[in-house]
Amino acid sequence: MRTSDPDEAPTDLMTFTVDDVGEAVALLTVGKALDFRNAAAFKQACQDEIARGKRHFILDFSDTGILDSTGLGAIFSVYRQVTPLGGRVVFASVSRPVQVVVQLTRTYKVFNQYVTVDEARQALGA
Amino acid sequence: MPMSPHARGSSSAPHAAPSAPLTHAFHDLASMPDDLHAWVGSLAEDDVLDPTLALVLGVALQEWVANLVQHARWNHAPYVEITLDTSVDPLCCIVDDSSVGFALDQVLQERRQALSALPERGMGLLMLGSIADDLTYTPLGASKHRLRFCLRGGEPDGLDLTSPPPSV
Repeated sequence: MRTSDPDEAPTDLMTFTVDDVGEAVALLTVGKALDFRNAAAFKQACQDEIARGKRHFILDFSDTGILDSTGLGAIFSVYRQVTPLGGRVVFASVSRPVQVVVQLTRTYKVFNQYVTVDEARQALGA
Repeated sequence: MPMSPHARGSSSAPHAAPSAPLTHAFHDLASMPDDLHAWVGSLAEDDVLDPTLALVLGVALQEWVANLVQHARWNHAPYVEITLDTSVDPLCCIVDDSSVGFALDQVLQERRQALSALPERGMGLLMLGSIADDLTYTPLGASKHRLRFCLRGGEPDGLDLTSPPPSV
């Protein structure tokens, strides 16, 4: 398990963790917030995983209370990078605050959602 | 199987609307987002705001606060004060700040013209604009500015970031 750099995360609410859950699948457990304060660190963490050979990303939002446009922009960036490689980005265990953002921005049309991380892993063959 | 997106519950009038406006002041930019969501969340927990309305309000205010924290130039010590008027159905919101301000309408126009599908930047104020009714940002005295908007009941239009039409 890898965690975000605390120097880049302004508060302990801003951390996230990265886990290997398959040869090409990374699980990112988003913390309390993915927003303008930690979006750059999130994006860098995903790019590091892509460099390590990951192509599919499961974003676990079970504990997330804040997702703003900058956080969404970081997710879009990851999507743009992995899609040409045959990769996918999916959401799992989406909290109610994140679900509201997903609805308002229609991003459910791009990112499949799964009730649990395990369901997302099965869908990705991990 | 992929989960179907939840249908958002319709926002309704506050459960127990108080007669006096609700005000909360912020002095610390670094903690403002977390303080904001804690405050709005407490209003829902206390049945002052409908839970869905509180979440939509949180999305709108997060985008405004993010813009202030990242881009505002301040006349003096940063100060932000949010007032909610729940006597209006369902809600009007005023955000006073001590910044030098900017031309919101002009920036919104520029952002609309530049918007592309799945953008990485530049959609925060457009998201706010897609949620809020009667959005204005005007000088307030010599050294303050005031954002004012209302939320209507039901589901806001939102902003389709997956395939925005040219006219967005």
